[in-house]
Amino acid sequence: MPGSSRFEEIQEKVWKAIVKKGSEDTSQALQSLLNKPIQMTSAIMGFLPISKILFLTGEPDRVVTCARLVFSGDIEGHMFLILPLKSWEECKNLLLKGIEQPAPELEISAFAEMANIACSFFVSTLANMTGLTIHFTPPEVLTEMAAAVFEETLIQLSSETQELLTIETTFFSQDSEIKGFFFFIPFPSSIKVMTQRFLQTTPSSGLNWRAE
Amino acid sequence: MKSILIVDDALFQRHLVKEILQDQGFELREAASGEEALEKLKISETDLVLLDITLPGKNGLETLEEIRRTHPFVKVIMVTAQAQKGIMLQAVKLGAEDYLIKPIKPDRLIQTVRKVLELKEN
Repeated sequence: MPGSSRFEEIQEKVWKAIVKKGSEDTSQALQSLLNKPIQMTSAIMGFLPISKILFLTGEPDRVVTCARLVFSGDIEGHMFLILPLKSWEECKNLLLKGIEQPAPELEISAFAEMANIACSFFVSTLANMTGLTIHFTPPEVLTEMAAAVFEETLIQLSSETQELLTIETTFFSQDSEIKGFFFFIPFPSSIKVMTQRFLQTTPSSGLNWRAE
Repeated sequence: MKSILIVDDALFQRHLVKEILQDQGFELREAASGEEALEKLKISETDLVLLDITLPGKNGLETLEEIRRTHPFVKVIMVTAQAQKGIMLQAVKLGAEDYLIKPIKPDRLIQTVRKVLELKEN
């Protein structure tokens, strides 16, 4: 289909614009929360076969701390903030500085709040650039093997699609052990909605999109 | 002494806000959900509610609507990491006095709380 590749090309440009701004805003939010310079690598974005999702953070059997947020509204999908255990220990020390022997529920809550803030900034950028309204649930925190944290998302989507759009950024601090992953996985039906809305609300993007 | 109700499902966030406000001469109380906040408003006098938007059950905007209906003179500041224009606009339309974006800067929190409480005294 001749129009299809053009649509994909535009879609890719649109996504790059959204993701670049979203990643910048997210890194600023983490920096402010942790009171430490945080850098983010350029986002990697692409369609991945479902079977590869389990390997997104490296070895699937590595234990990680993860927060999962479900978003809904004009678009639907899942977001994840994932930290290797060593990295979470470092973040915990920064977030709970000055508290002697913090209660386990305070530690879990600190991680959930970190995820809430990081994900909110990404979603807010997306919402403000597209005019979409997006709500999400409070984060669900898990300490699990990396593969297990994606399980529910994959079960939910495997009957609908064999590949998923994933946006992945890695953040790190140069003078510490902090390193983590952020994933944004919209449901297949939401991708076109986002692209169309971005082009309607941002004529200055210089991109044209014609309804098929 | 002015009384402030901090409404957030995140224990960590309630802890942070209390740390910032505890030396400012306010009476501080907490609620972990919109439903709990509405119960606490019924039983004790409150001047200001710091209300998170992302709450389990009744969300912050629904809770705000209910507060406006049942306690029209209580001031409300929305607190959220979701800086979406649409949501902020909705909060203001529903009657929030102001809003704060997480992560909250201590100076900004104190300044906003003072500003909103002074409005009440006028």
